[in-house]
Amino acid sequence: MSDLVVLVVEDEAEVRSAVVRDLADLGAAIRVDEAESVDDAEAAIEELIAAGDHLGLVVADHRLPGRTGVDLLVELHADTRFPHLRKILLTGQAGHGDTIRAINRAALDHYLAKPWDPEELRTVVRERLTDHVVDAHLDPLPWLGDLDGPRLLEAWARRARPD
Amino acid sequence: MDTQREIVLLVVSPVAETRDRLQRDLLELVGGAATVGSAASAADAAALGRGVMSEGGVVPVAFLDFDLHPEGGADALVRLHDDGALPATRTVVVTKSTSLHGVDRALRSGALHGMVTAPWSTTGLREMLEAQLATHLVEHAPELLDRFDHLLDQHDRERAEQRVAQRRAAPDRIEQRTHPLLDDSHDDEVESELVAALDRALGHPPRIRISPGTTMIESGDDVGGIYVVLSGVVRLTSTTDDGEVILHERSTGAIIGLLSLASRRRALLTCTSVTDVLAIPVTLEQLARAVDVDPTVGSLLNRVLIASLARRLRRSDELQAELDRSLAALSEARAQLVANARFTTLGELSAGMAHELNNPAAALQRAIDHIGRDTSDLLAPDDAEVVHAAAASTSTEPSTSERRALRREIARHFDARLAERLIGAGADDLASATELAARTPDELERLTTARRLGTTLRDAERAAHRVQSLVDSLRSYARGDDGRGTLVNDVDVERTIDSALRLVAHRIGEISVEREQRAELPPIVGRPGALQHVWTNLITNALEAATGDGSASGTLVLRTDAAPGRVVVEVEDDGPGIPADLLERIFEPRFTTKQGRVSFGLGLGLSIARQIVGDHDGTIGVERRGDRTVFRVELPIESATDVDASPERPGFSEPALEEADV
Repeated sequence: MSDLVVLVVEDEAEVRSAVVRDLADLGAAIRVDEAESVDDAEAAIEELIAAGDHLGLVVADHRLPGRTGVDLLVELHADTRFPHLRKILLTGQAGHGDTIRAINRAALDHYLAKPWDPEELRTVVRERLTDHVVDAHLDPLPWLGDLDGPRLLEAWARRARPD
Repeated sequence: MDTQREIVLLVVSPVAETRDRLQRDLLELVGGAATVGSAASAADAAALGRGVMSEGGVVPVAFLDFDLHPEGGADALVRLHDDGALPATRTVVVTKSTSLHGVDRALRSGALHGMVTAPWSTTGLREMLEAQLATHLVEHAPELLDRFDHLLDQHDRERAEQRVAQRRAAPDRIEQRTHPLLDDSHDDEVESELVAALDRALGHPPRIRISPGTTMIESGDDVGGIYVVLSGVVRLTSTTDDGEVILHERSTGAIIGLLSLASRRRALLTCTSVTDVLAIPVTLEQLARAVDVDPTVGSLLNRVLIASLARRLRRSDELQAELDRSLAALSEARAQLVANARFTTLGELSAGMAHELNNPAAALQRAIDHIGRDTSDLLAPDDAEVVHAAAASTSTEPSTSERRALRREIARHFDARLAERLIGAGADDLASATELAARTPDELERLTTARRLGTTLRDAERAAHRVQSLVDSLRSYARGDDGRGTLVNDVDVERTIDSALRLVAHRIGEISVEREQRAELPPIVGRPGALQHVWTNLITNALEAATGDGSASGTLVLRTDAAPGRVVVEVEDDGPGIPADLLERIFEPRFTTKQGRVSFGLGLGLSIARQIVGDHDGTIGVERRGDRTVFRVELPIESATDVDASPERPGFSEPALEEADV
């Protein structure tokens, strides 16, 4: 069975592990991968695809060494392999212009400011992942408990009985 | 006809030769109708005049040598006048002096009626004598006019009569008669016409030569007449609270003092000769007379006056423009002051923030330490050891990609999810993973939690330490209590660079920064905080240059080296560089190559750097090496002068020097 993966892109180890720790409570059915730069994130994505896993959501910091988090999100938005990918910017330092670009050109789903509220982070990730599972027509069964179960079921049922 | 009354002309000069020559020439002119008395001083002249008048005689005209009186010609003139012995006597000054010091005073006091330049011509002297004699006699002793039939013709008398009558009737009539007649004549032509008309009306009044720097009219004084300037430049100045302001120089015009006459004879401006000036002093009386005698004088005067006013008006417009420019410069200066103030405020803000952040940062560090110890005490020894080991784990942490590779490797032997859990529990290779996999799920969970507690403590400690370093950097950046900072005998230059780099770390972004240490640097005498400020400014400048346009690959080199008696720091960037013609100005305040953009330090960064380096007796320069721009700072190991004595510069606050702890 392929894993549903959330990729956390953050260059500072302490911050990254804090994010990962906060997302660990999402449930065993959701795997959290880590990357420390845009290049590393691209590598991680290729690896998980190769392993047959499924990328559902990216949580990216804006300020990264080399290319920025917004650069990554814009690039992923253009990547036809991930039509239903959800994107969250988690940052303390994105200018107005960067944010506008992320929204317009990366179809940013959510913007979270540092320091983040862990409950809010989990809620946002859970909602967006639910969106993803619905839109990508994934079998909702493995995530009924961890994501928004009723919504997944409703979407599943609607799809099973097209009127 | 009273043939008995004695008529005496006076000649006053301390120099016998002048007296004699004047006496001789005057006697020749009067031809026995009058006698000529001579006196060596004003006092003698007054005594002589008093004697003549007490016996019923008249003293119509006195000729006073202006140049050689020991007390000064002007004083002699005024003394003679103030003596009161000769109230109606017309006083003519004879001078060859180029300095007119005091003439204005005499003119204003009414003591001076005419002027003859020495050496005089017979005609000049005659015309002066005729005019003054006629005026006096018509006014005070018309019955004696007949004695001078040979000298004064009917025309002279009539003119004198008119002058006297009109002066009595309307002494200020010049002002009432203004009826400007404008035509297209050139100013110069009108002026020369006026001079000619004045000559006709006043019998060629004397020209005087005024040497440069002579005050002709003093602002605020009573004006007794005007000057018609024939050649030379006269400057009109106004005294303000801020000193003398030049209002007119080229725009002065030919007639000086006329405007003052229009304002109740009070001089508006101070008139000073700039060059040699040739001028005709014309008293108010002479002016009135000239206008009466020759109506064209009035209209010419008006035209010259209007031309002069027009010139001054134009000058006034120019002054207005100058004023506008000055105002613009002033507002720019003000903006700079505001910018400087803002910069100072930034320093103060940093200091305040550093202070406020310092306590919580310290508390955080201590709290993390305490949590670690209490946790160890609380837990079973095995768990405590795991926590402790995880907390003590250092930088040998695998990278994210290594971690993913490890997971892949372990996942080949175990379930992918188990692999994740084994790594979480501390597996760092297949062997340790296999060992851990043998544990019960509970044990594994417990290990994972203990390990995570340890790494979390470690992360918290690192984060708190980072906050503390930033606070320290901020404190050394910010201004100290005395605003000057501390002089330190053993400044570690490398460390000040480290501090600066930490401060600008958030700006570095895509730029890669290389440290190149070519030599071990000896400690130097200086202010570490100030030096850190220099590096901060230079690095920020280089970062801006390197990211300025897309052309730069974005590398920055910080190079340190030792030279005999000096240390060298170079900051090198591969930005587009500074155009050669701007290199000179790059250290000036508010210089920025980014048009319209407020740059770091509000354009003061490099100038502050220069000031600080200068305070350290060092040098700072910029040069182009290939396609790279290099700022080079050289600092003496031991400063030649006492750095501590350097005054605080305006425009920036020297940062406080608390040595930054790394």
